[in-house]
Amino acid sequence: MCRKESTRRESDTNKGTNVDWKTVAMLICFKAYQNDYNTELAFYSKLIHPKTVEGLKLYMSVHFNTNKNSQSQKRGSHMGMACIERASPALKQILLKLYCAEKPLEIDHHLYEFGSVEYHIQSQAFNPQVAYLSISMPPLCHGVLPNELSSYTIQMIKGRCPNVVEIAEPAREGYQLTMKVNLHQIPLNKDYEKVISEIAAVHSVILSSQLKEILWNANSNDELQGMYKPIKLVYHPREPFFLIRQPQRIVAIFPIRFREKSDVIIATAFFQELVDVGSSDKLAKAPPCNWSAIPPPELRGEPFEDLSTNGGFFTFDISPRHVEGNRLDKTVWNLLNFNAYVRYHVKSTKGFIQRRMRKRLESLVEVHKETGQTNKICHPETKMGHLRQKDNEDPFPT
Amino acid sequence: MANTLRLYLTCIRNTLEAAMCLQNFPCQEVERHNKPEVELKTSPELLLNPVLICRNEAEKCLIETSINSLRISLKVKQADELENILTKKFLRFLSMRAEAFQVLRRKPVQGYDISFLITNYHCEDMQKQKLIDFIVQFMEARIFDIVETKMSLNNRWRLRLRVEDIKQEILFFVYK
Repeated sequence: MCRKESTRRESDTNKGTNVDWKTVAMLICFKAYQNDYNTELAFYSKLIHPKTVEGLKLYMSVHFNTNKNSQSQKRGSHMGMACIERASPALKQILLKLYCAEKPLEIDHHLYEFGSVEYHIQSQAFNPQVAYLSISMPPLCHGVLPNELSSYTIQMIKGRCPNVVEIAEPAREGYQLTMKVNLHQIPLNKDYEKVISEIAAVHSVILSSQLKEILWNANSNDELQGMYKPIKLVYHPREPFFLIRQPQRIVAIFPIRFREKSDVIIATAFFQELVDVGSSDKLAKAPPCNWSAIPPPELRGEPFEDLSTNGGFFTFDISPRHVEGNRLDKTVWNLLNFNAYVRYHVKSTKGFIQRRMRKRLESLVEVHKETGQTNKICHPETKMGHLRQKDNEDPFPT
Repeated sequence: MANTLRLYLTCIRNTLEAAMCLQNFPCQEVERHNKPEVELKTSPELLLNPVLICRNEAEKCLIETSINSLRISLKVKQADELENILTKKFLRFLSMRAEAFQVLRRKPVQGYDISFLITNYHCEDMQKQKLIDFIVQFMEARIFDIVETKMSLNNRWRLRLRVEDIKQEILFFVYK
């Protein structure tokens, strides 16, 4: 990973004033400690270009850790979504950094996600308007899909941001896809963040289109014979799940495995709650879900190692209504991230229990302290409590 | 509070009041040492009969008394696996911070979830009545707390699922 800064870009980004944002950042950092950073930033934002303000925010966040509050607020409001955001957070940050940079940046970053997805992002100082983004990932379903991306997947990626993204042919060595990102085509208005998020979500687009292809093509022969073979999908290593395409529905089965027993218990309680909530009248439109400790009959004949779990099996029955039009994308992404979602809930539940325990401990310590203090008040003649009085005595009486 | 719980706690309180009459007593085995006899159990004449108070099979309290020390062991009811891990987690958490309570034993007696060891020095340092109050309050709070934590966990999950439905972001594919 290397990062070089080259010559200064023309200062045409400033609106009539030549305010250096790093100097402004130094000024604002003092306010940041007083949590008044946003007021100061608002004042300087009037003087400088919106792009510079973004650069300033990034600089502040990296060097002075100023956006801790805003980040935590954001985290609070999107807690449930943190683990299943479509856009890769690291990739998004780098693209934002490239887009908002006042000076041309030379960037050559390799990023790894989920242990198997690799991104390579490269931008050269002599051509700051263009960045190359390459991605490599294992196929979602071994044996069914080829290692190369299909034309449908490429069309889907092109369709996301037609002006900004171009597919570079051939892809760089070791990667399945290389995209040319035209940074100058990204709109200058508020939409720029949305466009960058779309580019950073390339992984989700590839996965979604791959899953769609699997669902379209799978079981075409078996259907005629009345057999529906489960398709094993591996999104996260060690967490495969199964899809079974039937005439009127798609069954998604998630074998649940945890390392710790306590996690299993929390997850099991959570699944029971999920099934209860899912079967309520309010959520009649949601796909019916079910949890069982033993493998469902649809998985009969699958290898033993796939059926041995400690957390049971969670099943979703997805009807055609859930995969109509734009809903398909969302459904596919939700299915791919169900395991991450469960793990996130288990982790946050453990945190909640820990917080409660700490609170309880504090209250019990308070009660216990009262026990000792009261005794000392009860003996005003010594003013030291019985313990001190005893300390003066011989500790080893014969 | 449920009637059975009130009776159970009252019984424990009365037994503790009767048992907590401890006095300084040097060890008979080791010269110039003063050890809790209830732990050593070297001299049977210094030990009183242990009292076992049971609310039900899963919930009981053992009070062992000696001349200079008192050991109270509690077994908390665990209705299901979730309650079981909640109890274990909390009691382990407390045991690891035993120094904050002075009277808490780091390791519970076998067959029980948590144990307290009260010596004559504790009785001299703290007010006897307040100490009994603390033990009873601890038991009461613990019993309620496990149930409350379990309920709040369920409520929390329900709330979160509902919030997520509204946001139409995850899991439940609700299209209203």
